[in-house]
Amino acid sequence: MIPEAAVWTIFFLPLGAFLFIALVVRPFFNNSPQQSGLIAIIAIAGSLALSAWALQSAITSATDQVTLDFPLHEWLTVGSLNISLGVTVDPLTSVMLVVATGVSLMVQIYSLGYMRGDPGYSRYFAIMCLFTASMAGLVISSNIVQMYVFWELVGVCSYLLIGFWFNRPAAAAAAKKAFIVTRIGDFGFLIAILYLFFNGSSLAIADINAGEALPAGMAATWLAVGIFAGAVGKSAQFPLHVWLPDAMEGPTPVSALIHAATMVAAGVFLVARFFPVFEHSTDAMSAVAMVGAFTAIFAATMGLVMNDIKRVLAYSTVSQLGYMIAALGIGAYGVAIFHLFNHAFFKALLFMGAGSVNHATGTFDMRYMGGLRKIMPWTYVTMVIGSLSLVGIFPFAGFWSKDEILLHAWRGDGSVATIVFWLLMVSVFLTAVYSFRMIYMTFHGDFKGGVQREQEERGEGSTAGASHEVQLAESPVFMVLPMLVLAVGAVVSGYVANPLGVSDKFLGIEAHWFSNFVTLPGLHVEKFSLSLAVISVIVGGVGIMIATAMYLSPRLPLGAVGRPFRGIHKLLSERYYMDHLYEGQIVSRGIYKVFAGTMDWFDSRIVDNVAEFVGWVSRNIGRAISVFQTGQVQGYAVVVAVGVTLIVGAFLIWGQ
Amino acid sequence: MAFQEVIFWVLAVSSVAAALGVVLLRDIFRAALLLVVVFLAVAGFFVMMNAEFLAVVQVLIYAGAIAILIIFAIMLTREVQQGNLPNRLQPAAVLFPVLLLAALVFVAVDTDWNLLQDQSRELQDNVEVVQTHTIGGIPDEMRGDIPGSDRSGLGELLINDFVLPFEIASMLLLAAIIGALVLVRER
Amino acid sequence: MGLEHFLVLSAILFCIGLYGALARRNVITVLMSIELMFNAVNIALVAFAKYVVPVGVEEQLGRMLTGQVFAIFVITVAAAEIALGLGIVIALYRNRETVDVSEASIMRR
Repeated sequence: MIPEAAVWTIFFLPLGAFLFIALVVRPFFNNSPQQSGLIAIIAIAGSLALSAWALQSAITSATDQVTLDFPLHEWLTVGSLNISLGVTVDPLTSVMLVVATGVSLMVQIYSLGYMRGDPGYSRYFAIMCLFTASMAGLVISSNIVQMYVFWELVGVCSYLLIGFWFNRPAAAAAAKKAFIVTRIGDFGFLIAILYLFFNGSSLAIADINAGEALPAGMAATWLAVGIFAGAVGKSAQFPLHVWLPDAMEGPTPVSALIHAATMVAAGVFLVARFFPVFEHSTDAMSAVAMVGAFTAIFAATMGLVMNDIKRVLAYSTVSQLGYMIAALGIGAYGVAIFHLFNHAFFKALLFMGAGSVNHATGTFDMRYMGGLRKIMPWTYVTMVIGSLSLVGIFPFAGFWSKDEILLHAWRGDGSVATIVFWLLMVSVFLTAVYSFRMIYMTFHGDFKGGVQREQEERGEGSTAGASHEVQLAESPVFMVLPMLVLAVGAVVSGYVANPLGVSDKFLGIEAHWFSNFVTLPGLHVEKFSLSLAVISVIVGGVGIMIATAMYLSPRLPLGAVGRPFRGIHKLLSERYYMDHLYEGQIVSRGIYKVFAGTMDWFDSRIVDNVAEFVGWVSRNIGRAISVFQTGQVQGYAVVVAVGVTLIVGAFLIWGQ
Repeated sequence: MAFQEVIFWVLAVSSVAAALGVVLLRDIFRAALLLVVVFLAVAGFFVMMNAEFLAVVQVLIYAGAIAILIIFAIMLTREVQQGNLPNRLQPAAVLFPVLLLAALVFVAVDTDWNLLQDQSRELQDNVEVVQTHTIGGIPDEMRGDIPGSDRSGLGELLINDFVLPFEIASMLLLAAIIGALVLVRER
Repeated sequence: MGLEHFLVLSAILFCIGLYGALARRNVITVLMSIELMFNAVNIALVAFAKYVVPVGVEEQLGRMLTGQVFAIFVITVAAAEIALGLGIVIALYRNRETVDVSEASIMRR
């Protein structure tokens, strides 16, 4: 069994690395920034080892029916408010720890190559370490306030890393957008915490989930919706999904780690962590399911038309997070975490592949790529594996978890589960189309010039000193190696769970082991269904075939197919005009013009005038009074004498 | 008219006249000399009220030290002859002291004081013993009859009941010495 | 001859002193007037100690002398005041060649 100190060390190791890089390496050894990367890798590798230990302890305790109990430490006691600090190690936490530290380790190794030569090299690794520490702190929190602290910390790290190249206006704007949009969701989360506090509930997560202080009726729904609002913001669910595609302005490894594998999954984690609260209210569960399923298909449609490879992946991430949220909403708790686990591997892999492609071509625009298959074989193979896993083709990892989600929706009760099933099924098809559109545009056909061509077409010419240039070659080993590791994960991570269930044991793993391990008591896990699996693979396969027909072979020429759908295409490339709605209408018109305008008028007319009036009054009073200040001491003394006489006289007349 | 009353009236008239002289005379040097007269008259009042110690202190400090200081200051400032002009505040400076005087006299006369002469014979006798022994306190053989006489005499009071003000007064004097030195130091 | 005589005398001397302090230009006269006021107060204090019985003093008659102790403190303060006051007068005279209080008005600015 893992001791408490070791659990804390998972958190403190990367935090220490952050402090060391930020306070020692960056100020004093900035001419040898490679040290920062090595320090980060060593610290995170240590965290990964301890996380594995935590996972092993959680497995042991699950089989032995023992709960791992750690003491709570008093942190804040103000009046009746009592906030404790502590760690939790349960199946959910340990899985999240392994995912976070594992993907983080791969990303750091990848970053050694990807970020080479960047002037902010040390800063990059420092913030990555801080992020890893915050993510670990988030998942081990045993108190909702403690959790909220780390919840915001990962948000801050996300902000800092999206805006890593802060001298690029787009990056700075994207960072701001991500921070503000997630803040809207966090507001709901904060209100939920305050509600619990004012309701007199204990703020320890275990106590909240025990359900004693939970309200009944509508209040329970609103409490769950408040927590879900936080998840919607963090996991970029509709209608707060707009920040994630823009967040792709950050460095690609950041997208792989934060905006694909871990931080965005924190929303799913949050719903899972407070799952008993959601179970309390059927309405809340339905809302979660519907939001998730709608987001899954909504984002997938936008992924169809994006030309930026990272934006395709971003919408894919939003869509896959929708799967997880929908799975939670229909009660498929273990399966949702299973999908999170698999998704972390293949989506991080896909982002790394995109980064690798960018390393060679200097651009993210797929219209200027093509033909990279021969030049970058490793990247090609790993990305195809990642895409197949994403689509959910047998026998890749994504197949197993996606299939279990569909199965739960199919067998679930009520109309909500049925709607979710059909939405998700269509999403499978869309996922297949956009994934292979991406593969074909990037790796097949002829090379179309990369960043040089892009700049020429934009009329910028090849600007001297541009950070990227076309260097068609396979990426360095530091970048390929983590991709290979993750590719292996994308193939086999489904099997560690043995979702097949046809035989009781597969390589010593029991049937549906993962789902049973993670799931909460009282939730059932569906058995594998061959027919549904075949159907979903066929749907995915049809999607791949259509993509092949449109983008690889001239059988379905793009122009001919595209003509009738031009309106829809326009709608999709404009992202359903939601950014226009948010930025153009709500922010510009609503907030800037109406709200800020009113405030400006109030400030310049009323506040300023009041301030000036106060100044005018004091100035004139001062001027009037200064007449009496003659500087004549005896004049003052006369006033004193007058005062004394008046007081004595008044006392004699009225005092008795 | 008793002898004491004769003394009182002589001292009262001379002190008031001298005080008027202090504030009204043009010649500031003579004013300072009249101030000495006031000080000595006040010392006389103290004697009449069984405050011999204070009378001695009055003569030493006021008539001695302070008067000498003032005369020194007058000589250093060389405005002896025409030095004591009135300023422009005459009306107020006359009116309000007069009003205040009226109020004070009214209070002094009108108030129903808890006078010693209205008390019991025994208390009057005991108080008389206390008042006639301001220096050195009451002799031991008489103490038994008088309650609270273990702290009699100014010295006993000063180092018991008033020890804190006593110490503060010493600090005040020290500060005054240093302050005066700083003020008049040649720069 | 009793308390009232001394109190009225004290009041007269005090008000003469007050007049002098308010109405004279020469700063030394002002200081002398303040000394007059101190002396008037001392007369009143000693007269109270002599003629008035405070409530509850019967059991601790030694405290009848409190008025005289007050007078001692007043004399102490007066000594300190006159030393500082005359110091200021000398400094003023040295710097501005005047002992006129009306001209010492730089506090205004």
